[in-house]
Amino acid sequence: MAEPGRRSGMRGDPDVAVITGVGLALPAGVRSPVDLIGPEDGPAGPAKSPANGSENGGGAVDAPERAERVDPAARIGRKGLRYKDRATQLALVAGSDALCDAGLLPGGGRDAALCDAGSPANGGRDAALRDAGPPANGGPDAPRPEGGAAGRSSPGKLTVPPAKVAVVVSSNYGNLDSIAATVRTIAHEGGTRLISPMTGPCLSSNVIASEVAIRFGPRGPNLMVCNGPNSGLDALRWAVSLLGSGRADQVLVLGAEPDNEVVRSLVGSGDILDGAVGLVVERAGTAFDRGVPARARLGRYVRGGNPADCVRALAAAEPAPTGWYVPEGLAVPPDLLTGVARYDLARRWGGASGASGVLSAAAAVGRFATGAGGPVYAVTGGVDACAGLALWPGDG
Amino acid sequence: MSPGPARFPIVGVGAVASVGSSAQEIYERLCAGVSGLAPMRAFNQDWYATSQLYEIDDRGAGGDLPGRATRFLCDALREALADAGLGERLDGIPVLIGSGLRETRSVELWWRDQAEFAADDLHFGTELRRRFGALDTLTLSNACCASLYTLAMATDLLAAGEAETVVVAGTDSIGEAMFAVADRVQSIPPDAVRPFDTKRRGTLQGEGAAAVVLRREARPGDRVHGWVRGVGVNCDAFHPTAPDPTSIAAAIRDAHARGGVVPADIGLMMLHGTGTYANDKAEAEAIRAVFGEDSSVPLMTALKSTLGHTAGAAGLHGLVTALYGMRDGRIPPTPTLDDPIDEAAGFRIVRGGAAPEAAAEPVRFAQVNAFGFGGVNAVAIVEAENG
Repeated sequence: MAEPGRRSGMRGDPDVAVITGVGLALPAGVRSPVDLIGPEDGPAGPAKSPANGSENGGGAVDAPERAERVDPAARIGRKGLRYKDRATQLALVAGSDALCDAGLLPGGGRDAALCDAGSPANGGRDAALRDAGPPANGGPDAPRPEGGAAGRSSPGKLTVPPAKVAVVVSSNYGNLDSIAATVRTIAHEGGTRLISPMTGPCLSSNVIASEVAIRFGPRGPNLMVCNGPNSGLDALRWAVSLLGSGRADQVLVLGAEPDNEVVRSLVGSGDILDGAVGLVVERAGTAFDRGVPARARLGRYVRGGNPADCVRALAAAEPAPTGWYVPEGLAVPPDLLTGVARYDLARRWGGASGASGVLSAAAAVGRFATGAGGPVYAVTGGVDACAGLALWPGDG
Repeated sequence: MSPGPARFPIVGVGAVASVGSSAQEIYERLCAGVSGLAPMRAFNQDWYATSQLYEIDDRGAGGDLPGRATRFLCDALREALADAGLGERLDGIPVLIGSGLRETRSVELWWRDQAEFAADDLHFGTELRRRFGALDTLTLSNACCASLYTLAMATDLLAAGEAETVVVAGTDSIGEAMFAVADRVQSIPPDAVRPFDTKRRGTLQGEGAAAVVLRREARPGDRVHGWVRGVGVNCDAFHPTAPDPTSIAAAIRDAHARGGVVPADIGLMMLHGTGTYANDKAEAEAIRAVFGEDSSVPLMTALKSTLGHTAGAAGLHGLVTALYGMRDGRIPPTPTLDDPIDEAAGFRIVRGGAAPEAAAEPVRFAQVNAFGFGGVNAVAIVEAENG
């Protein structure tokens, strides 16, 4: 089917949002979007089946995928990971790869030298004590980072102006382990004796987004989206909004969720993702100017009360899809988009929650890279609402 | 239609906090210098050195309850929607909520005390669908500037013509983990929040919610409280807790550019003023860097002195108070400020005990500052409604 508005070079709309980089911090050593391509389900819809292997176009990969967890130190070096929670570490890995993939960081994502460049200027985390009041050894003279921007390490680490690079992170469960451990320890001890001040930053829900900024230097808008099952697609929606309003020229979008005891207990399942997915989103014109290919184009975003309403809203604005990513954990009517291939990433990766929508977009990039046509729809949803996004091949 | 940059009318407001359960009541109490500081009610005093917080008194003797941030939010929303003449059906209207801790206090109670809690209630959209039929909601966890960040995003939606009406809110309930770390590192617990005071010893948490209804254009019959001219947002990318005055100054300049104002236009500034050593120093330096000699023009006040640090709600608490202040010409004082720091020399911070300061002349533009953990900054410029 002909794809309306297909562009190459700058014959198309320079303001349309495109994906120019992908980074994956996923189990089983999956690093490339092409490796995300999975099996198609039948019309009956997704079902959680035991690990019995699944065919896919990318080569045989055994489920469960959780067997080989991401080792962040092996991916981006140990420096700068200490005291950071699991979700933040995963996000740093995916963020590094996505930024490098988009040409926004010099060198390869696995470069140890890059890791040094990404560490905060002040090094130690003792500075975390400072904002709580004058330290015991005196207020105004207490050691602190070199004033403001003068103290930044490697101010040029981004290859584009940092003030126009935004970060949007989606995570629902990211720092729950830190919070839960803290209150339980205090109750057990009858006091705060065993609480380390270093855990302070982990208790703020936006720790992932702020740590990504501290490591890589983007100083534009910094958003922490904690919006339930739709959070990942919402992160993409707000990235597009930041581009359209001129607040940013590039946006690093990340979805990250950890697998730990607290999350398993809250979710009621051990079949959950321990991983992160990163995408760089920018206007097609900016990508063209930078000489980087568009890997996918973002189409219409919609909200609705249920998957059928979202599909209907997408189909009102976009052609029928060649395939669609079904919402995890939500019943989908069997007659919805009959005959259209369904992709259920949760079968392979487990429940991805805030990372789900971002993972779907990365998988779409993988499909487009193999020559698949568009659009594809990605739909997420929960008891609050559903969200839908159309994606098209880029001009790469 | 007036010329100049786009501005969006605020047609409904609502708020709850430790000192009051409506926007008007809170404003009156703030003008009277009433503080919400009280002996803490929900945490075990045996475990902590800090003994006072700025809590909303909504619990009986039975200990803490889950879901309070959500309840505060719904209360503020109901007031704002009624004020705007909107019914309580929100399908089709985006609702953008900023919160520092969302419902992680409920997670604490669930994990430690087996309180009832479901994963779906971590974000506010679930309850907003139940209560108001809302289908387009956002829970943005942007720490202490979250509600001004959501205000920025709302203005972007309106400017792009993607919505005609957007509801913006902020809410937070006090979380124990966050409280405990502060208690752990503060060698002497603060006796109150003392913004910009030489003897400040750190911040104390408050709680509550605020909500505003924004339109792209005022409609006949709308009561316009004021106008959002622009919101500047950025991130220090520097340090998890220590603020960067250079970056804060950049956010202020961004807000002025978007709002089409210059420093001398600002007649009222709602300070972030957490009473921590680092914030107040950095905030004062940033203001002076941008305003220069005009630093002594605007009246200033810091609401955390009476509301405590209401985190995600703080930005909108400041904005709603600014709207009332500009309307009435009375600015609530900062009663806990006795000895201003040198960096604030020349700043007209409203003090004088419990007496609000009457603005010598009508204030046309107000600036609201909000800076969050992780180095996220948001500054809003609001314009008074004429006549």
